[in-house]
Amino acid sequence: MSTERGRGDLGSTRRDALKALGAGFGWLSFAALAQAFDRSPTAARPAHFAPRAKRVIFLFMHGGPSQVDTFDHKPLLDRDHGKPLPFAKPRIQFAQTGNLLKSPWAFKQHGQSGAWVSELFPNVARHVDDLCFVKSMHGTNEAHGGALLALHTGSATFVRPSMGSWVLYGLGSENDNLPGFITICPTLGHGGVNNWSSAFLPGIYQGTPIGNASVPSKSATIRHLERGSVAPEFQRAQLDLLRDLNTEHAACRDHDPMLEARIESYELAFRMQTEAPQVLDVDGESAATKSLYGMDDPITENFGRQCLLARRLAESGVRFIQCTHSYKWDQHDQLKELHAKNAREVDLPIAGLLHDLKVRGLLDDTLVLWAGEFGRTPTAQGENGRDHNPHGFTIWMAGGGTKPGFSFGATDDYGFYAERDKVHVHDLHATMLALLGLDHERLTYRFAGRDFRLTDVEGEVVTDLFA
Amino acid sequence: MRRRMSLRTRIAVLAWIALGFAAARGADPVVAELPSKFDASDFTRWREHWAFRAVTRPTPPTVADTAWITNDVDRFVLARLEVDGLAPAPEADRTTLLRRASYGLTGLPPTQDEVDAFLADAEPGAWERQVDRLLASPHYGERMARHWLDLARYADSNGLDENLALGNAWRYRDWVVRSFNANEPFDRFLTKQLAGDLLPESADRAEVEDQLTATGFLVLGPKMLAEQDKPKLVMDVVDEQLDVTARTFLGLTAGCARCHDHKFDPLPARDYYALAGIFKNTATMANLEFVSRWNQRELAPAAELAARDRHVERSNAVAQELANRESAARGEVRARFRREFARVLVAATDAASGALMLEAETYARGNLHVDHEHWGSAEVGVIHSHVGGTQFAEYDVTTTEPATWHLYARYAQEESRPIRVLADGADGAVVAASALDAVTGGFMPEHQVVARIGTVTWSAGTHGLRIERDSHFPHVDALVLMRDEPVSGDLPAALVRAAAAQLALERRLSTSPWRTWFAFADARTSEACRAAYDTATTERNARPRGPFDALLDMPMPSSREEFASRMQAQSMVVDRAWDARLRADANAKDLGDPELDALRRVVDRLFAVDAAAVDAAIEPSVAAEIATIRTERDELERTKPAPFSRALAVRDAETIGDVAVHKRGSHLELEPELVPRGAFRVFDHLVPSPVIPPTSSGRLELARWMLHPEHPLTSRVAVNRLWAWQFGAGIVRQPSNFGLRTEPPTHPELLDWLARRFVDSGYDVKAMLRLLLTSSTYRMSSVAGAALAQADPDNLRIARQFRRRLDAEQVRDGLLRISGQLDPTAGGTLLTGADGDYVTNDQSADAARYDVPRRSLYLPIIRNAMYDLFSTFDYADAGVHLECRPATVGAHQSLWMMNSPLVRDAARAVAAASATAPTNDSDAARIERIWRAVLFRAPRVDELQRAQAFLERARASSTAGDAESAWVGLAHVLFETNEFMHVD
Repeated sequence: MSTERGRGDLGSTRRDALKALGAGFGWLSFAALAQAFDRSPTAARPAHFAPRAKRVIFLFMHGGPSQVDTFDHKPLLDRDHGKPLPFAKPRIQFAQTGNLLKSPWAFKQHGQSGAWVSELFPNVARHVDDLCFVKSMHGTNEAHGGALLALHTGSATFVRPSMGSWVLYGLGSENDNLPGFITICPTLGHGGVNNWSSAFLPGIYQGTPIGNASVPSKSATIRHLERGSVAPEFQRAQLDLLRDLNTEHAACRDHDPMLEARIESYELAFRMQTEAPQVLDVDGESAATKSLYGMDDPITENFGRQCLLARRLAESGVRFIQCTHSYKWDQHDQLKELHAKNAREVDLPIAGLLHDLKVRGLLDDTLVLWAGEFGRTPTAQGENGRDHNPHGFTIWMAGGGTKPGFSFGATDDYGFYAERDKVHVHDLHATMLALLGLDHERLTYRFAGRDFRLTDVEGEVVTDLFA
Repeated sequence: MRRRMSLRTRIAVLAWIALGFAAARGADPVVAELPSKFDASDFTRWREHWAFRAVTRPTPPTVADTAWITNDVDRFVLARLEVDGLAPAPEADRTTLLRRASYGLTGLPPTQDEVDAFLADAEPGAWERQVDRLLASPHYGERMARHWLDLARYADSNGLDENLALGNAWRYRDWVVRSFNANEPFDRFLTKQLAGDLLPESADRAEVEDQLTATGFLVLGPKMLAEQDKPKLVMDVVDEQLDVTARTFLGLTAGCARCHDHKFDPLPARDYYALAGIFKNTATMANLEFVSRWNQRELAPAAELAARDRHVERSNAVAQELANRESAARGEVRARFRREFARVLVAATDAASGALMLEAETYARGNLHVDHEHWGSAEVGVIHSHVGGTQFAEYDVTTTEPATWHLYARYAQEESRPIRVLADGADGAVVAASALDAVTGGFMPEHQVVARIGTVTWSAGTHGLRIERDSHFPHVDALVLMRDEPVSGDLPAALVRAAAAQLALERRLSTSPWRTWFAFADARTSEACRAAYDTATTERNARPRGPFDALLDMPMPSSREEFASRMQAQSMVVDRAWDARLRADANAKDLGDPELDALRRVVDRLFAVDAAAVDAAIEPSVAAEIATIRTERDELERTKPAPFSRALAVRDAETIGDVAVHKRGSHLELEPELVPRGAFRVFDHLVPSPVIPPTSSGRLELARWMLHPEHPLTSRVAVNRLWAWQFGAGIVRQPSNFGLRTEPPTHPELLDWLARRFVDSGYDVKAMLRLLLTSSTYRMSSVAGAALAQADPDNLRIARQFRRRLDAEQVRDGLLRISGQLDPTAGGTLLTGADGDYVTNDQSADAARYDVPRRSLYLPIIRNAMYDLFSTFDYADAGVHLECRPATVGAHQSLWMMNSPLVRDAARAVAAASATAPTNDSDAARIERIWRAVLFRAPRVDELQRAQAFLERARASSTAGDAESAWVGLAHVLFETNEFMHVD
């Protein structure tokens, strides 16, 4: 392609061309596509401005981990345990809650940064100087489905493309032989595929699932990647014949770019079939590495494998990777028992991932996001539970140009409402895109007469989070 | 690199030329002069937008090359080409044509026989006959329905947050198929979907059902069912309906106006809320509970529903009367019995001494779990089941002489788990097929009650009394057998026996409320009675206080009968108190004194063991009256109308009112004034605003407003869709957006001419399609020639046909049809679960199944977990209105073609069919058969050689253990070709 124009210009031209796809003339888009891309619509392309992060690993804690039991230390909650909340509860609540419930876990300060972390995350606590906490997150939906969709797609109301699709649409992929957006063991509940679908963006930007939450990560695969009993040389012979037939066919049809693109897509599929299983096969990793991720312990094995896979995919140039710890964190009761169990399952694998990314130099340009769809109420549901709370919760990021050893924003004295430096889910999206070098107001797609954005008409980039 | 004119500019320039504007003027005066942002104060200038102007009645232009003209469609197309000095592409060959039309009109490839017949038809009108045949095919409606369902965001599950099965959505789908097949006029098709429920009821019952079912269009949208802000949920549903309705029928993107005036199009927020009022007054939700439910309606004429309601009302009344009479009669029996309480107690106590007791946990054979801790207690061991499957216990009972026994059990259960009881092992006579079916209020020891099971007759010897169930078991504590013997005096034997069984079982328990009595039970002499009194008094202090303990404070009784009389007296005092309590408060639950309430309950229970025995003791005249009522109840039950099918459907809200503008779309911030229900005012110059009566939502008036013959959008949008479905691209390339920010039509006069013709024909869809398909324009080849392909890559002039990739359904249906596996059965649902069940859940289980060779139209459309074939081939989302399917290319599609079992199975079937051949068959002949099966033509020489070379390579491969695999591999390749995957 031309080098005469600026990188940003080139990028936006490609995106303009892509908009044609959504305009609904599929055949037409290929003329435009063929012009806009060297190879494919998922080929890597420049960002709007210099990126801090090249890729994202999203560690999704499905169910809603409690901020006041993990990273948001609230001494007054301890002091006023059992007393009523001294201010009003939200207009809309998912369930009724009672009085304040102190955290069953002790908090301690860690690292140079002195970040407070509860006993639930002893291993992640060792990495606090790499973490960038946002303790003033808030969203709008108090039910799982709405909140999951809002976090993944920016909309709790309508079907919209997921953030992984937007990122892939904006930046393309760095590896043609792998899907650019991969989600490992995602949930089929609470929005399911909509959480990784491209909605009205072209289908090539949809997430590729590896298994789903109902299968252990050990047996999760990408569908139709395996050629079964067919030998490689047999399939090669097939593809050679296919290429010959297709080439002749296209030659009689003015080399229609739509036809030529499909010829190439078979070659890509063949390469993917070779490369993807190698990337997905973690058996070749050393015992020390596996142990780092907790794969030698049955409790941490499942999520540890997800995290190790995420690292391997990141290394291979996949743009957006999601690991899901599915629907475990919803402790309306049994908070003590199950939050402890959940944290135990993910704490070591996450610490292992952070360590591994760091020593491999990947953390610099890999944005790690740890988040649930919402937090939980500091008030008690029953004796030993907490209700959903979208009004104030904690997430953290690491690497990818975020400020290490930093904590931003705060909730009130009890951890119910985000209060200082509030960050809405839309703001988080705007900030993540900015870290990737994308302007959330310019990353648009024309559909049904409107230019749609991940952030709808909202979203402020929180530059305080930048290193 | 040469900078191209932008897509929009290219289309616009060509359109302006066609509109007659001089290209030299440089710009469309209308578009150029409109401010970039819409200002709601004045519609006038926006009314000049091409799509908002009146539909013209253009005369088909004259052309030079009249020989090319088949019908007037061609005149518009050719006139345009002749301006540019271009010639239309030549006519496609017959095989290409038939494949194009078959896929286009039925979604299926032709059969080889159909191709051969067309090739052999040398008579004039051969093509027209093919078009007519396809339009008459039942598969025509299926293909048209698939297009329509994309617009209607059809799905079999809700999607979004709570993915519940829309278990009746398929009725809407099947109606769409029927409607197209019957060539229902489009105006009626539209009206039924928006307001079928408001049309006068048809005399034709099927039509009544269709009218309701069609309104499913409004209900099908995905809804955030667990949204706890319910007023927001309601407005989100309204918005979704409004947006889909406007895009589907008007080609307007009205959703934008929810929060503010539309940025580009003349759709002010005020008009949005005029329309929102129409939908807000439409009941779309059945309830707004925690997880809310969408509305469904029974499919029946009003008269049948009323008759059913009357029947239900009558049945309820009779059932109530029966219950009242039975209850009174049984109460009378029990009261009578209570008056004899002392005698019954003594008689039953004596009878109980002959009882045969079987503790449930002492079974000789069985697989039930014994529990003394959780469900049972140290004293009350119970048997229960851990898992499902067949559960049983057998007890060896030895009898010394032939006799008949009455069998009772003490048990507890929270849900009904009836058991089977057999006299002697698994093959023994059935004592009761469904015993212990009543629930007792819980599973714990305090929930245990005694109930009669049945009668068993044994000879002398040992018998294996068996209880069993094919699923979870009730918690059984003990069984007791009472010999069929006369009881003392004139008391009804059955009732005494039942009381005896109860007492026998109570007697084992250290905390039984009857303990006080049990001390006296065997005291037949005054001496024994004295000793009993001492025992009872001592015992009383060693256990929790019982309901009869107070009687011990009275002087010592001289006999057990006297103590029994005192118990009866006390019981009758309590009964009188209870009667008084009920007179004061008919809903009273207790007397408020735990001891008295306990007494009342234990005495009640003594008489509740054997309901049949109670009934048998009812006064004969009363029993006859009850029998008469029961006969009527049974008759009403027998004549009960079968339940009506239900469909997703709406009705008008019970109270009708207007809606205010919601500031920034928020239901929490309303403008002070209400907006009268209505439609978009920008069309007021052509179509009078709908006049909506205060008693109606206004849906019917909205439909009629859309169908006003001068409405500038409805007919244009509809014919453009029919065109786009058959050509692969519309005259307006964005079929659901006729607003200002869309590309104008490539052939505006043709669009208007078609729109007028469509309305004039009475909205005849098949006639319109016949016109399009028989045109020379449709029959052109899709090969442009290199020069034209470069000059007009987007085919804006329509100098050739449009090449398109098969969509997901065509790929699958094509594979199944060509390989002979397709099951052409139409209609019905393939959902496995019940209406309203979760189809995907928190645990990520996916209940949908796709391994049926039915047409893809009938496969479950599961939002949030779309069948991977669908999502792979660009049908990724069934939650949004799809104006047309994108056609992307990606490695994921190629992987699917290479490795999915569907393609493998199709290839295997084609290879197998090609093997049924004459002897001395050559490879070349078999290759040709495979070619013809998949691509409807013989291979060219070079292709034949390549295929032969492939067979050699494949046979040499390590997979070649099976001689057939090379042939399967060859058929597989043909399915992967662009020739199979595209329509020329």
